[in-house]
Amino acid sequence: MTAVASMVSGDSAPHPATVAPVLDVAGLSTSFETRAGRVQAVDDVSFSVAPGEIVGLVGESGSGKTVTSLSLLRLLPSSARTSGRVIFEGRDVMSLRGEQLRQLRGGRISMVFQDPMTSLDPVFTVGSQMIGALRAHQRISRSEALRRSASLLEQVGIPDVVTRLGQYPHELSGGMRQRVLIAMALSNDPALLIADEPTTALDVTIQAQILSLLRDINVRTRMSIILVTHDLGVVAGLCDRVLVMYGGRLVESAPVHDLFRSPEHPYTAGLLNSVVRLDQDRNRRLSVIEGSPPLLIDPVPCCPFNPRCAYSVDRCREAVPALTPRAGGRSAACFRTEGPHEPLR
Amino acid sequence: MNRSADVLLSVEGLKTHFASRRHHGVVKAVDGVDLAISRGGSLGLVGESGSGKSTVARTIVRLEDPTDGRIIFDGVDLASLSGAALRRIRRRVQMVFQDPYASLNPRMRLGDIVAEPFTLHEGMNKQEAWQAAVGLLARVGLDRDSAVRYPHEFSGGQRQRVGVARAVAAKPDLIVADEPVSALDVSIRAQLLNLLKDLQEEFQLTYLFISHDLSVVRYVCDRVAIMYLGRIVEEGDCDAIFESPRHPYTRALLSAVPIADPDLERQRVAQLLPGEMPSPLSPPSGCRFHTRCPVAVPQCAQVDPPFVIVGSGHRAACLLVADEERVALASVPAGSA
Amino acid sequence: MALTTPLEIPSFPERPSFRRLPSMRGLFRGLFSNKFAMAASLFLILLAVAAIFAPWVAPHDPNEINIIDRLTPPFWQSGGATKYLLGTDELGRDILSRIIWGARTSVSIGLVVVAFSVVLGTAAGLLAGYLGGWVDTMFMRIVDIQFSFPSLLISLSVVLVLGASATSVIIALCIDGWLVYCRLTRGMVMTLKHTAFLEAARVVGNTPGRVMLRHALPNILSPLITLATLEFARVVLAESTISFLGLGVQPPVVSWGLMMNNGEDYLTVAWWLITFPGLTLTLTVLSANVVASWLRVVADPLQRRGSR
Repeated sequence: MTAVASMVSGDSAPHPATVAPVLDVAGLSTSFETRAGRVQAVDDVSFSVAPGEIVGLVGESGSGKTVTSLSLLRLLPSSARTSGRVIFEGRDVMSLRGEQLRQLRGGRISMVFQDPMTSLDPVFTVGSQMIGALRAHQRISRSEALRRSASLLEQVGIPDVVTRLGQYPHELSGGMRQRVLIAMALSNDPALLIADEPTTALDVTIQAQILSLLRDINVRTRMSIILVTHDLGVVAGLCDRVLVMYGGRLVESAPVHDLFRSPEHPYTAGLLNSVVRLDQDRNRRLSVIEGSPPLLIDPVPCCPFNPRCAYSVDRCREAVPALTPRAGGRSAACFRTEGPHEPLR
Repeated sequence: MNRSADVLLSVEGLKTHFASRRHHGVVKAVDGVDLAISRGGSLGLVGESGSGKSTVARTIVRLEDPTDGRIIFDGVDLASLSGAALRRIRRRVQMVFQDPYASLNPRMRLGDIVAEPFTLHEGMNKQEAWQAAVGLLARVGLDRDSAVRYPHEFSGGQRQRVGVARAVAAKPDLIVADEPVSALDVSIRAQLLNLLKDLQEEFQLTYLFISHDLSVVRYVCDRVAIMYLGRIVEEGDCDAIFESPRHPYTRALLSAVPIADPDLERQRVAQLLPGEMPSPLSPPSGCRFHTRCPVAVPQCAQVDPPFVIVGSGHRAACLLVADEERVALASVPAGSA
Repeated sequence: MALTTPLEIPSFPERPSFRRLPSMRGLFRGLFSNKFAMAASLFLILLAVAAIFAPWVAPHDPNEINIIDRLTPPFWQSGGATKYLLGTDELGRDILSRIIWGARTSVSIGLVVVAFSVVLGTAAGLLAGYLGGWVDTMFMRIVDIQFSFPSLLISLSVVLVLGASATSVIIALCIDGWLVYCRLTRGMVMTLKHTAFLEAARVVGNTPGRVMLRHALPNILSPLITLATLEFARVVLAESTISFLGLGVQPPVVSWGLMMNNGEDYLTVAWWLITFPGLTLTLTVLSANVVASWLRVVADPLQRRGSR
């Protein structure tokens, strides 16, 4: 039987200005020392997430979106240098040590990664991994943890829960594994879920199931979600607000409808124009953004999009535009939009 | 569109089965597929993982051997060829691969990669082939001095252009493109798709375009076939299929594709299919889709639905369509369907 | 990089003639940073020079008998002379010269055996790995059967049948020298078979031969070179062993093994007879192993994707 779920647009996200944000990122920068030079993967990124809000972090490969999401929980290798402030529920994640950080991860903030094939430990059953996730944060007995695990699996829509708990990851399909991972991520009632490309590796019908699940959870529990993705269709359907990254920098931030209707940054506009849509007119040539994304090695102090931008002026070559706020809760990092200007679409 | 005119590729009853040692069974990846492509046309083959679409592509270019069926290419059954005869006809059926990071020999320079078809099929010597290759690389948008460099020095999008150049070099009639843009960034996809369309016009190519991405298929192809678990469930002109899909799976698939438009996207009712695609080791009885079908009736589990013509050049394999359409078609004056 | 307009580009650069191997500069830079590898390479180069230029480098004729000067100690000991730097053996033959000429024997036998084994083993491995089926089964049975016999025993049997000489040593060592290359190549080819670029090579219309030689082989060369280096050491050691047992090369051909055979009887009175050839042998094997290890490490970065 069909489970018909309507994707209803939210009055669900409260206006960011009135409520204290659950996450407040200020000046986050991450660089790696490599043999080829210093790679500035994330450059001065600032944003905030309100309670119950679903924020989309959008970019292509090399934009820095995944490194940003990993930096929030300090999940990067030791060759990474991170600076900036990440304030979660009043505390700066960057200053937490050892046990405090461990408690945060999987507790109040949890994360779901892209590849469900490799995110689960192949030598432990689903049940034991879920119990492990629960007992790492809560002092409960094994049997209680087992009971809660079963309940969580039901909540994410997995049928035949008892059997699943005893199975090994390789016995489950990709979509099922991703549900298990989401269940594990939810097990300690997080205030914030960071989902890094959670459906990229899944078929489109399974993706629809997972996205619907995430929307359900957000509506039910008011849990905030940061959804890292390159798929603008997913963003259009699920997110309340969108952050666009390019070349390691945050170039635009806007509520979802505003972003798609009237993008302020040339990259956003170019990206939206080049997406192949289901209702695409076959006889109209796809518009492209010429060139390729920048290498992040030893960045030059100019706008990262400048070499490919159709609207660039002299100033774009000389300085890096800052993310400046505009009306309606939007911001864009572009010199062009600082004064009066023509719309891009 | 006159389908019977000048059919370049006609696949009849194609089956490709693999023996699976691990599961002690037979994986029926492709289990009875018929399709046809007219010269100059482009057919999209769409499906999710496990549908068999890649296997169809690989079988047509004879990377896999068919278990049954015929692959009639310009009058010749590819399934019956081998050795030198197969190699000779290979120049006319080429492939573009999915993974740009694995489809180019890391030890070969770009120029040599693209020159090879020229030496193999056009009998050129090394110098001539090289010069032809450099020209072709320029045509697909790479610098002239890129020919002496190695694949690892280039990005995914650029490597994929090389793959396309290699496929086009021998002036084939048919190009089988196996998910050519799936591994590329969104903004690079547009570049590649434009290139593919341009080349089709310039070299009069015919495309068999494999993809899981319906939006891409709609842009590139004029016809599309939807696959599920080794069989085609619906086939027709792109516009017909996308605007009025008949098979329940096609409908569910279309409703699940996210559209990059928040107003549209949030109004849509996504039809969620329960469960996952069953394993090709043991496909369900009767209609293979019945285990997940929102409108299945008991008969669906028993009868394997035949194709029903539901429009001009548009067919779907569903028992319920048959009923609907039989009633609708009966009331249509003869000669217009 | 916009799409170009139709071809009016007049002339194209000629196809340059390319060096076969990738840039050696990176190799040398790596060599300087690793002292062990550098020392080992230098030793092997020295050995090669000795082998090639033996007639000019050796101070004496290795078979020149001087009973008067027999059992002269090395020059730094009392009784020694700079005329015979490493001393003389029981027939007054200069040890150093004999070591240099012995290098010629060992190196040439080593190279011939390795060359033959590489060619045969790689060819067999390519066929077995790429064609599969009965070809694969056939080769693998042969390899398995041969592996189950102790190699030294086979070598000795062959030598006994053919009579002791340099040629029979070479034949004996070639008989099972090819096995390891076959197994290694086969394994790598079987993995490579499923990569997209090899499938592309088939689809483009290459014959199986061209696919194996032009596309597969260049991608498996690095591990093969490392293996060949190790095998060279093993062959040199094996030849010395056979000659030590008296079943290998015969006089007047000089071999380290033969020298050690001789020197065994004089161990208590003239330690230098057996020690220097033994030391040279050890250093040769050690150097080859060090270079092989270093090659294996160096081969990867050369293939590593530079940019994207």
